[in-house]
Amino acid sequence: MKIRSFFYILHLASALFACVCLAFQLVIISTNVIMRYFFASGISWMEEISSNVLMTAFTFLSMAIGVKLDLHIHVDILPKRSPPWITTSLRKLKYLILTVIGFVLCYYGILLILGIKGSIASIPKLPAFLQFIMIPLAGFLIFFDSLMGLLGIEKGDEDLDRVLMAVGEKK
Amino acid sequence: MIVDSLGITLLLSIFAVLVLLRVPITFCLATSAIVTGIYLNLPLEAIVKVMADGVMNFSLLAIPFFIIMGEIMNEGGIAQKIVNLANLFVGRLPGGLALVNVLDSMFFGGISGSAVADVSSLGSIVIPMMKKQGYDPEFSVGLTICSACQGIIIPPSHNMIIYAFAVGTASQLAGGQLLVVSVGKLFLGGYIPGILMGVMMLIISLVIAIRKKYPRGKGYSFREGLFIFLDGLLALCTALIVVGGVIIGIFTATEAAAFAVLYAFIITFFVYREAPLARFVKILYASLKTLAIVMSLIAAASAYGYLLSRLQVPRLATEWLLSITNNYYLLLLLVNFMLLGLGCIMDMAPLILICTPILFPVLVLKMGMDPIHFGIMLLLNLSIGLCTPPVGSALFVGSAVGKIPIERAAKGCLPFYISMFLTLMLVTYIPAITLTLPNLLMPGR
Repeated sequence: MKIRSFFYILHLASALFACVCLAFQLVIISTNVIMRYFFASGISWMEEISSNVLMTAFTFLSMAIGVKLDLHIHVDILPKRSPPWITTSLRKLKYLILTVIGFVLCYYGILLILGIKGSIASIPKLPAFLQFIMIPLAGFLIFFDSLMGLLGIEKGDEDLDRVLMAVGEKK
Repeated sequence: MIVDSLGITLLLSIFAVLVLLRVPITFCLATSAIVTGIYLNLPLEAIVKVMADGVMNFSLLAIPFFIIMGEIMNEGGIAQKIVNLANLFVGRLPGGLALVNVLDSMFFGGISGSAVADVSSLGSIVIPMMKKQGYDPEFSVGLTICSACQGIIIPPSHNMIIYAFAVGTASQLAGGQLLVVSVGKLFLGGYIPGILMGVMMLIISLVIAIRKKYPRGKGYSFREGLFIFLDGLLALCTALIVVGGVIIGIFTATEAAAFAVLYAFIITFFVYREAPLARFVKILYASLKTLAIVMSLIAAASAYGYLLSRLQVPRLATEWLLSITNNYYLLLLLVNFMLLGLGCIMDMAPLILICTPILFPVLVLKMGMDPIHFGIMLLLNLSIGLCTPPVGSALFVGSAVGKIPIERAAKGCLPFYISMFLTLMLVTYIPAITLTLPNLLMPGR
């Protein structure tokens, strides 16, 4: 039960963090345009932070959300009325592949970060590994969700999507 | 040059087999890249880094912003205002609602740039109205689905940004220098083909409406008309900001998209006031769900593209295609049929990312086709795939919104497939349809 709550909070936090990254990007790019045209000045670190740090953060976090909610596009050319064992086997295969990809992203993402941990990005002067910081977390979430799917264990966090989609809804 | 046949076979066959086994395309690309990377003794950190580097591109930032803009517009009840505006222009003609359906897709597509968003938001308003007035459900749903595909071609469209990104990658993969396609020119290139497709659908709808004696819509007083016009115009200004800003050179595509989001935010939450401000969290989250599909694909396709290049697949594909025919016009026909076929079984974004690195070197670098012309032809081909069975996403959404089976929805699309195919052929073989506006308004850029 505690593990389920932990992953529910982790998923919620990562989704909200990805939303914050998106909103922050929006704010700094719009502000930069306004500053450039009205004050002949700009935010020097805008491009690096938005494309290198924020973009990778929400790309990989959204990849994990996509796995959790089964959003990623697949091609469905098998007949609708395939025997159940075929559909079950294909679902298990999908989860197996996702588990492996999750592991690769998590483990090799950590190795990537450790490999450049001493480097400093040019503008602004921040550690270069920040660009890749969300990859292991996304990999971990993909690994966990896919493993649960592979083992057929209910995670009990299905209402996460419902909760976030209902924010601000008129009663 | 030594060709690593086993490496190429691994890369291509793992991808193809996994796609057939219903594995999501993003992970088919990533898995085949990882397995081939292991075979080529590449460190897997390098593959992960290539995936991340693939999305670290400032011009790609326009994609999330276009998606957020579409979500804001959906939330703010823009669809109804667009329907009213289209009704004002063509509602009084025979089969008025059918014509409204085409015209509102033209307007809405210019704002959201997404065929699926167009079908779901406009379809849920127009299809019930059409059914109520006695239009065939198949015709209503088929028209909604096919007309929505104009949204891909009429700018702004995030698929054009994906194409511009793919061209940069493709030119580097082909061993040449980085080729940058102007997003402004791409936007301009989409107008005439999009409008041409719309006009053809208007003509077909009008003919069907007259034959089946579909009713005319009601008229408006001057006061009502003026109100509807101004109300709808505010929403249409979003597209004007993006396209106008980029063409005039005030903004880059990314900045224009960010600014358009700001504009859409202000008119939705402070002018129209159709949604509470707290809804913006939902908008960001819903955008993130769409981005999960698009951005993950770009990341995985970057790793796949890196290996395609390392194994010299674009060069081999060029040689293979030219061995079939080196006649430019036949090659165009061959590519069109290939893309139409692929569009029937796969979605748009992955196909742009997979096909551009392979076809771009042949048609643009070797045969001298204009990259803007190639881009619009590619997008037009793939947009047709969105409304064809078995996996057309617009077709699925349309049949769900119209509450009829896929087979009946596809039957309703049949007359409009003809207009789409005709537009495709005209765009393919008459480059001026695509290139006149970009060359006129952005010469030399």
